[in-house]
Amino acid sequence: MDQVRVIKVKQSVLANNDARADALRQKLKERGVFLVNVMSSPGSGKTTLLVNLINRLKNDLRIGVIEADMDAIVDANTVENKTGVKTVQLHTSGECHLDAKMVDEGMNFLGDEGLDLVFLENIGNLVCPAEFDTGATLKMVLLSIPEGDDKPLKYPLMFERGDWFVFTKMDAISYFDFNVDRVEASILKENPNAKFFPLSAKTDQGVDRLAAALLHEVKAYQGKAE
Amino acid sequence: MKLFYAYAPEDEAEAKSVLQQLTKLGYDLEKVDTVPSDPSNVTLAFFSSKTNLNSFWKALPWLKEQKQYSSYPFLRVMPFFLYHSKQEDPEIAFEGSAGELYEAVFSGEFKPFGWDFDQSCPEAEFQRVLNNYEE
Ligand SMILES: Nc1nc2c(ncn2[C@@H]2O[C@H](COP(=O)(O)OP(=O)(O)OP(=O)(O)O)[C@@H](O)[C@H]2O)c(=O)[nH]1
Ligand SMILES: [Mg+2]
Repeated sequence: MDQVRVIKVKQSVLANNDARADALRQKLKERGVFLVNVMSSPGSGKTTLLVNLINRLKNDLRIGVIEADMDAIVDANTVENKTGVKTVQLHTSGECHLDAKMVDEGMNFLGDEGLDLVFLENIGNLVCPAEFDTGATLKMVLLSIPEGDDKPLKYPLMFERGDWFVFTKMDAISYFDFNVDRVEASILKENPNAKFFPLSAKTDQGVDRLAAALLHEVKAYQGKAE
Repeated sequence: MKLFYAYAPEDEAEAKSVLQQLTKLGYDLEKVDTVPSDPSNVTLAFFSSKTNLNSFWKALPWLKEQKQYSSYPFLRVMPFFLYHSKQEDPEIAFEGSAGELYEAVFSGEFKPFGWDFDQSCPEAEFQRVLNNYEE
């Protein structure tokens, strides 16, 4: 298969990120495109989960993917090869996050015409991406079991600002002291609307529930609730 | 809330129109010719693509003096870029004279806030960006 298309994107020169993000969100809403900003530490399982989710949803929704990396292309190739959906790769030239301008350029590059759902795999990092509104409709934060259940205490902004929290690699839970109830309670304290999805992309346990919730959310957003 | 401000003569008309809007929002604005009496207040340093670096330094001589000694971490100066999005793209403007002025004058700690005269309510974004200057 051909290599995916790559563009280099630069941060906006201005500090006005939120207005730009609001404008992008508005534009996507008018076109019925639901954008999910997927964030986590490096290696929490973003790409693996996206491949699994997309293969479940691609018959019901037209899906696109924007992969972001400082300078690699592996994730975009993996997603495109394993799902066949349209994927583009953004290179941030060393930046540790995406801002709304970069995502807007990424959406133009992907061409959102006719798409229902776009996944944005942000740079693996729990700090910088939390600070920047990308214009996404939903912020999905992954926390893998081996990382430990104290992460909300160490990276509070990410866990305050996220919408859906996915606990990945649940198949490994017996090897780690990860208390799902405790981590949910600590997130809910600062973020009472948080929703939780414990799952394993390896055994498929729990992935169905997340796929169904996403499908429902996208249909409701497009005014086509089942 | 008290804010200081300064601008070069070529930006006077546009800066004044921004000041008028900010006054309506309840900001207490004071022009500075010397080092701001209270450096904990934010100073708005207006500039645009048409600002000349020399005349900018003349309008803010105290800033030049500070810059010679340190990158003035104790002074909270907001680079305040004036533009019309229908006429110019700030991303391109900063590849030219606006970017040169920004590099020459400011510490780089804060990205410039852009006030777009062609956008419906730039003051909402101004208030959000101003929050970044609060410790
Ligand atoms: N056991 C187990 N391993 C998993 C699961 N999901 C992902 N992995 C493994 O975790 C490693 C990292 O997964 P990726 O999907 O590449 O993680 P990522 O978050 O995309 O990583 P970066 O893009 O580098 O930040 C890989 O070796 C995956 O096979 C899971 O549910 N269970
Ligand atoms: Mg990845």
